[in-house]
This record gives sequence, structure tokens and C-alpha cells, in this order.
Amino acid sequence: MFLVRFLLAVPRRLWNAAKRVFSAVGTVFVLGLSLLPLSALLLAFPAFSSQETVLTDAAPERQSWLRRTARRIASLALGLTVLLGLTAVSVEIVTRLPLPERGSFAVVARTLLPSPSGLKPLGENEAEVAAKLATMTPDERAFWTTPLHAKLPAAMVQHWPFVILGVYLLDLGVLVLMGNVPLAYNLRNVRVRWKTNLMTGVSFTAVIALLVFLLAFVNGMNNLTENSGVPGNVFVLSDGSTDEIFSNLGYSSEIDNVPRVAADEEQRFDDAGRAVLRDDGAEDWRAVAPLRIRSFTRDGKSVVLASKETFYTINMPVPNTEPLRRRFVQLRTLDDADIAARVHNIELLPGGRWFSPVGVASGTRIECVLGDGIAGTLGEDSGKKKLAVNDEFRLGEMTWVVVGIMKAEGTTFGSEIWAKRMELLWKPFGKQNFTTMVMRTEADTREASRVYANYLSKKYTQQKLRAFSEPDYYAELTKTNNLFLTAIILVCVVMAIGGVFGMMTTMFASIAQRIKDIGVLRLLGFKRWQVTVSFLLESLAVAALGGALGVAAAWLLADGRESTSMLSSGGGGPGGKSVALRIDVSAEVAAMGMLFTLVMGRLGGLVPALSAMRMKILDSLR
Amino acid sequence: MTPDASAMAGFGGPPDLSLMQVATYGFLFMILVLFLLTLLATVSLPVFFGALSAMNFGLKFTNALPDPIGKWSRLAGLVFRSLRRNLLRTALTYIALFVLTGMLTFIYGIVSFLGNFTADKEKEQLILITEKFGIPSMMKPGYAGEMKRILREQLPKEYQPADIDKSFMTWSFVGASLQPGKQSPENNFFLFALDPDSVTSGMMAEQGLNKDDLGDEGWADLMKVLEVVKQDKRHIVVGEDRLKVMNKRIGDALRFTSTNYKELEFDCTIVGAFPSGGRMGNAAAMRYDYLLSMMDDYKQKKGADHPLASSCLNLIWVRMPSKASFERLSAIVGDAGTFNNPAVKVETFSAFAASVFEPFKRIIWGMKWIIMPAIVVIMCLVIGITITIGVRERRGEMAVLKVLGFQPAQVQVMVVSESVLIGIYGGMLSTWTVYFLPRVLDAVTQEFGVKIALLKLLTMSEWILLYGPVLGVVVGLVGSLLPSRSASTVKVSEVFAQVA
Repeated sequence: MFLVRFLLAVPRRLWNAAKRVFSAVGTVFVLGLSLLPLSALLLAFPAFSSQETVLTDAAPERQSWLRRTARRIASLALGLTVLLGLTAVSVEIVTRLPLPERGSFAVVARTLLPSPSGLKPLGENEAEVAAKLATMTPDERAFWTTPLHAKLPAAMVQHWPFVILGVYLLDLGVLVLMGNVPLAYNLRNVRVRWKTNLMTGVSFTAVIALLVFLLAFVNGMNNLTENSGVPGNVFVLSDGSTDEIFSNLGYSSEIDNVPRVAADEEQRFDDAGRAVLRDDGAEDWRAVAPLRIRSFTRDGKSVVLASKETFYTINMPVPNTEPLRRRFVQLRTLDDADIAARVHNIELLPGGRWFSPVGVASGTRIECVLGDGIAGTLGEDSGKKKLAVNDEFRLGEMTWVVVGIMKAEGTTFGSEIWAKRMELLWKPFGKQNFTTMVMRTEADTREASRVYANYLSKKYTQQKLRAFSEPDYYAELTKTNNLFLTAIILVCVVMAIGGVFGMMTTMFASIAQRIKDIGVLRLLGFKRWQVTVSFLLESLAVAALGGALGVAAAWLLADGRESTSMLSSGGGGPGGKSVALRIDVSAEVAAMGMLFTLVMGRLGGLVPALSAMRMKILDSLR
Repeated sequence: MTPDASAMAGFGGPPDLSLMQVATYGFLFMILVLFLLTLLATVSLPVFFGALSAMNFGLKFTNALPDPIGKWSRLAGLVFRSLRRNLLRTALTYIALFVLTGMLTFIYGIVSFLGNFTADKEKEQLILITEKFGIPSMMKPGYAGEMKRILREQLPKEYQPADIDKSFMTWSFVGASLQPGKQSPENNFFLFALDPDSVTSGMMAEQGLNKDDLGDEGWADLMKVLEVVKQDKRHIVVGEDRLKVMNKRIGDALRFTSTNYKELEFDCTIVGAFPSGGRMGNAAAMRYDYLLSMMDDYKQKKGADHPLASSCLNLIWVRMPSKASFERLSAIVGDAGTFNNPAVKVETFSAFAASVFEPFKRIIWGMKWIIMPAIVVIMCLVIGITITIGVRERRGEMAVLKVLGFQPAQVQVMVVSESVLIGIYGGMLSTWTVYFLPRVLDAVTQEFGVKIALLKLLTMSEWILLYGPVLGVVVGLVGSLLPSRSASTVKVSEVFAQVA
């Protein structure tokens, strides 16, 4: 008997379990939808609940199935239209804002919006993907290989935090236009329940301050890589090298011909950066006007603007440490300081000079100029804020004297020691060949340097080289930044869960205490959606206030502070460049902080606001 | 309209599906979030509420006992009842604490791992001999033999490793490209050139090639592979992850050009794979003598030494028995005239790791002293909000308790207990999950013959089993500080006046 009863109850239990799962799924979808503009959601709302109206006071009582369906479709279309409209207007506004060409968080958009083939439906590796792509029509191939971020407006990719913030602000404007929302009532309530609202706001302040601080750190690293390359420069390494440290270009005689090359062909690439192939399978190159390296006249002679350099990473014992600590410092030795300064656009601070052609001062002290960051790092060893001209330090069991400080703040050169390339340094530091050659193109544009670099990599036959447009080389060194950015987003999302649940708790409690108020509001003629909006705006107000304080706190405490980190093209370790950076709370970082705040506020506020909307007037007054 | 004109007007070419793609990606992202949240709630919430119910059930047997046990038991019953009163609120607070404690534990794990990694050790020392200043270190191949000679002849017996040959290893780094000139993950890989016996002797243990990480079966498989490697110097072993990227498999023949040893081309056969997910999963290893023989061939063909022939030794590893033996060796090497071109340094692996992490020291400081305290503060605030709201809703109940003879301190204890209970469970279940989950998954996957090295990396110290509940208590106490005081100072007359 018991077994029969149990078996009979199984379908009911399964049904109940399924209902709970569906309910959980529904809640999460609602949470996801809460990130969309509220005006679009409300206008689309009758598509899911045909008895609800937004633009009119009451829904028609009796409607045929056809009319109801048509009404649902129209609501959905209206919601989508508003969503697209808000996005388009926001993109247009952001496009017109005086923002830099490249955004600090574009990498997030580029990563999340790959090409469909990047999602690996075509194959596990490049060979499989290429084989499938070869069988497609050009249109199909373009669809599968063009990254989504390449199809979207630049503002949506480069400055997406501003675009989304813009959408939210415009959304508020549309809501105000759509009708009366009892805002005064909600703002008064924020004041009345100030204790819990304060605690919720403070939790938002903590999360956002931390987020902004961490993002400002990554922004500081991005600034280094952004500012380090001169667009018209070609950066040459030996073939197979990913970094200067592993490059070996040989001696002067082996590379002196490189700046004399006239690049007269340009290779074609598609939107995804793949080489376009001709019908016979060969790379598609086309003839262009020859590109040359710039020259200047010095002492009556024409000198080509090509700087030959040897880059060292040196394991330096940190003085006065027990147990002995070591750090990595970067040394760049130059064939000709004058040319290097011109190629890299580096000047010295007043009072300094470039090292002499011999490179050695009296008493076999090595003359050097320092970047601002390394001057600070080495200064700490001798109890100074920064090393200055005529200060000395020990490196490689030699004494070095500072003869100048570079104006290189905000670039990777700020973390480097520059000295004359000489035999004295070969033995202790183990490298005598050139590692790097940097040249300024005649046209001095990024396009010219890219064409020239590609030509050297593919067409130069005297030596195998790997050349880059200089900004492209430094952009390659952002792998560490991206790793940090991923970790920061992960940490902040998890911390935000705390803030979101805190907000939910506050709002649920707030609504539970004001059930009667909701009934009165409804009796006064406020519609369900107006009540929903009012409660959501209440949570957004608390969140925005807390978040704004968080942004302000991070700006006050962190902006402009110095820190150290590592830049690398992947893998980390001694292969990268150890750099000194300045934490930068830029407008974009602040926008990202506020966006995060609003997202948290929406996630935390919508479910309680919807619960307020679902109350019936009589029930709430009972 | 000509095709060009139609394209310019926006009518030509393939349809623009970018918005559809945005919607698809957004939908996929939501599904992922849904999955994670459902997983979290499904696994953890029933345990939390089950544990609360079990404790509540246990209290029923003590309610009838004489005071003060009975009185305190009834008070504890009120605590459970108030936690049950608003299940949603309790669940939200618990999940927030669970997640935040999990993140805190994760960050603590990283910080303590780095601390241990870079801490100076007294006992067995893994030491590195590298070029004194230059990076990458490039030493003469003869340095290896000279170092062994010093270990045998100049280092006093009591400081020597038990078996010098088995405690010694050299590394040479070989960058490789299957298609020179085409830099891509499919074409490029990295090899360690070493003596296969150094794997057998456990010198590669720190790289994940040890019995603990591989299991008995995995270790036995590796030994078989090494036997095959010893049969022919052209045999190489490649990590499983790298094999996938390169689209190669065991048994395939490879011809690769070295990217750092100019003009050297190697013909190899892949005879085995290092396990996926481990430190060697993305790398490869070859025999050192093959590298040397290739340079000999170069000399025969070109009539001159290969440019890197005198600097093809990158690292020397020695496992020394103690810190004193390391210091003694370091002093001998420093005085020896044979290691001056280039000069070398002897350092412990932990000191080397510390110098690698030196640029990150401020970040690590920030993790320790900014992020971790900030998470604790947020936990306190989350729990504080919940308890404050609960107290405000139950001012009437507090007043009644006072009328019934409960002292303000008892009311205060009741409120604090609610907070501490949620804190303890949130902290405990989270840290215990972080501790046990990787171990359980590791055991299960090992049972099915699958080895995931990442699970080993995620294993944390036993201390977190204690830290979780303690953290919960602290957070609960701090979070309930103000609301419990507010509850204990409820004035009966005022509350009843409002009700009236």
C-alpha cells in the first residue's frame, strides 16, 4: 500500500521539482533581463502579460486570440525598437565625445565578441578550420572569420562602458517621459530608512572603490604600453624572437643594410587579420610607392634614423637586504645616443646630459641616463626618493654614475637604464650582439611602419628578421595586463554578489514593510509598472550614491600613486619587462565603476521591485 | 543599380547579422550564469538549511530540561525560528557569505602559496646555478662537469648530496618552429634539453613529474616512455596540451627549426606525452646530447663552432641536503676561478622565485592588505544589513521577551547568535567546499584514469578548515554589534505605545 502511494506520488513530486527548477530558471532570466533598459522592458512587458498596459490606462477587456497575439508582437517590437534606439543614440553621443581613440577596456569587448569561428564550431585547430573555410563561399567565409567586434561601431567596442552608461541615462529620460513615477515617495523613504540604506550604500562604496582602484592599476599598465611606441617606428628583432631579451641580430655589419631597404610591396589582409591569398594559394602582395627610413643631417653628413641597441635584463642584488633579495632591471645600451633619442622621441630633464661617446667617466664609472621609474627604484636602495644627476649606484660589480634623467614618464623606457654600448659591459652581462633595431619611417605613420615591418619580415632575404610597427610590439606586451584584468573582473564580480544580495535583502525588507503604501499608491492611480520603476529607482539611487563615493574614494586615495609590475607577451617570469607605473583613475575607469554600480543596483533591485508590482491592491491593504 | 552602388546603399553583400550575434553571445553568457547560480544553490543551500533544521530538532530534547539549560534552549529555539521566518533573506545572506568567503579563501590560498614558495627553507634545498647577471642565463657546457667535480672533491662529505648524479640536472632551452617565419601557437613550441635520467631521479618533481602528481600508474607510464627516449636521441616527449594545439599525436615524426640556435634543424619522433594541465603540459623535452651532437654536426659542416656552442647551458639544478650545504657550496663557487667567464651565482629556488615575483610585490601586498580586508568588511556589512532589518521587524517580539523576563543581555545574545550562526555556516561550508571539492574531484577523476593537474594546484592547507568557521564567528560578531545593541535597548513602553 505504501509502495503504491509512493509510486503515485512520484509524478507529482517530479512535477513540483520541475516547477521549482523552472522558477529558478525564470528568476535568473529576470535577473539577466534587469540589465536591459527598463523602458524597453516595460514596453515589451505586455508581450508576456497581455493584461498589463504601459502606454494606455487599461487593456481592452475582451480580445480575440488574433488581436491578443498581434498586441503581444507589437509590444515586443516596440520594446526592441526602444532598445535599439537608445543604443544608437548612446553610440552616437559617445562617438562625439572627446575620448581617446583606444579605450582601456576594449580588450573585454574584443574577447567577448569574437568571430563565430573563434567559438570553435568549425574545428579544434587552425588546420581543420582552414579546411572547412576553404569549402565556403566568400560571403560565408567573411561571416565566419570576421570578428563581431569588427562589425560593430568603434564606440561600442572601444568605449562600451560609456555607451552602456549612456543607454541607462537615456533610459531614465524615457521613463520620465512615459509617465508619473512616485519618485518623491521613494526618495523620502531612502531618508527615513537611512540606517539600512547607509549600510547598503557603504557596501557598494567598498566594492566600487576596490574595483576602481584595481582597474586604475591595469589602466596604468595600459598607459605604459599605449605610450611607449612611436607610430612611425619600425621595431626589428631577430626571427623567432618574441621579446628583445631573446633577440640576436648579430653585429653592425649584419644589420647595417636593413635601414637602406625600400619597401615597395604591401601585403593584403582581411578583416580578421589573416593574409589574403591569391587563387594560386600565394600571399597577395601589391606594388606601392617605395617606403624608406628617414634621414637627418649631422655634421654635414646624412645619417639614417635607425637606432641599434642591445637590451639586457640584469639580475641585480638589492643592497642592504638580509636574506639577499634580487630584482630584474633593464639596461639598454646604444650605438648612438643622439640617434636613439631622436628615434624614441626622448628628451632629458633639465640639468642632465647624454653620456659621452666613450660612455665612461673618470675612475671607470659607467655613465648612464635613467628613466623616472628606475630612478625611484634605485633611489630606495640609498634612502633617497629618486636618484638624481651625479648620483651613483652599483650594478654588475661596477659603479655607475647618473648623467641624466629621461623625460619618459608613462612609457616603458621610464623603467630602463640607458648607457653607451661598449665592451666593458659585454662580459658581465653576457651579450655583445645587437638585440634590437628601431627605425623611423619617412612617412612617420603607423600604416607606413606596418607595411615596412611586414616587408622586412617576409621579403627581406639577407637576414631572417621579425619586425613590427613599434606600437604593435608594445601592444603584444599586454598579455599580463589582460591576465590582471580577467582576475580583477572575477574578484569584483564575486564581491559584487555580496553587494547585490545586500541590496536585495534591503529592498525586500523595505517592500515588506511598505505593503500598505503600495496599496495606497495603486489606489491613487499609479500603475503597476510605475510602482516597479519607483522601487527600482530607489535601489539605484542608493547604489549610485554608494558607488559614486567609492569612485571618489579611489580617486582620492590611489590616483597618481606609483607602483611596479611586469609587462610580458605571455608566460611572465624574467622574459617580461619589469616596469614602474602610475595608477590612473581616468574618466573611463570612473565610468566603469559607475556602470558596475548601476548593474549591481539593477540586479539587486529588480526582483524585489517586481514582487511589489505583483501585489494586488486589496491584498496589500488588508 | 550597379553592384557597387547597391553595396554602397547597403543592399549588396551578405546580410549583417551582428545584432543576432550580440544577442546569441548574450544568451550564452546568461546560460552560463544560470548554470553557475543553480549549481551553487543546489549544492549548498540544502546543506545549510538541513544543518539548521538538524540543530533545531536537537534543541527539542533540551527544551524541557530545568533552567537555566531549558531557558537557554528555548532562547536558541527562537534564534532558529527567526532565521526560518524569512527564508529568502537568510538564504540570500548565506549565499553572499558563502561566495565572499570562497573568494577570500582563494586569495588567501594564492598569497600563502607565494609566501611558502618564496620562504627560505632550512632543510632540503633545491638550488640553481645561473649566470650572475645576464638573463637568459647562458653558461659554458663545461660548467656542468666542473660543478660536479666541486661537489665531489671540494665540498666536505657531510655537505654532499647522498647521490650526486641523482641530485644534479642541467637545462638548455630550445625554441622550436615547425614552419620558420610563421609565428603561431600551432607552429611554435618550447623544449627543455636535459638528461632523461634526471626525470627518473626526481629532479623534475617540481615540474609536476613525480609520483604524487602522476599517481603510481602515471609514473610507471612515464618511466616506460623514458626507456623509449633513451633508445634514440631523436625521441622527444611533448605535453598533451601542446600536442593538441599542434595537431600532432604520439608516434608522429617532426622536423623543426630552432628559433634560438640558428641554422639547427632537428628530426624527432614523439614517443610520449606529459600529462595535460600540468606544468609540462604545454612544453616538450628532448635529450641534451642530441642538442650537443647537432652543434658538432654544425661545426663539421661550417668549419667553425656554432655561435651558441659555448653558451648552450642555461641552468644547473642541484638538490642539496641542507641550507648549510648550500651556503658552503655557494662560497666555494664564489671563490673558484673557473666560473668567471661568465660569472655565476648560486641561489635557492625560493630566492629565485622571490626575484621573479619582485615586480609583483606591491600587487601581492594589495591582495593581502586591501582586497582581503575589503571582502571581510563587505561580509560584515551584508550580515549587518540582514540582522538590522530583522531586529527592526521584531521590535515587538523583543519587547514581549523583556516582559517575559528575558534580560537585555539574553536578547542581545539571541541576535548575536543569529548572526554568528549564518556566519559560521557560510564560512564553514565555503572553506570546506574549497578544501574538499578539489580532493574529491581529483580522487574521482583518478579513479576513471583521468588526471587533472590543476586540481592538485587548487588543494589548500588544512588550516582553512578552521579559518572558515572562525572567520564566520568574527564576521557574525562584528556584523551584529550595532543591531544587537539596538535590540537589547528596546523600550517596552515605547513599542507597546506604538502598537496601541
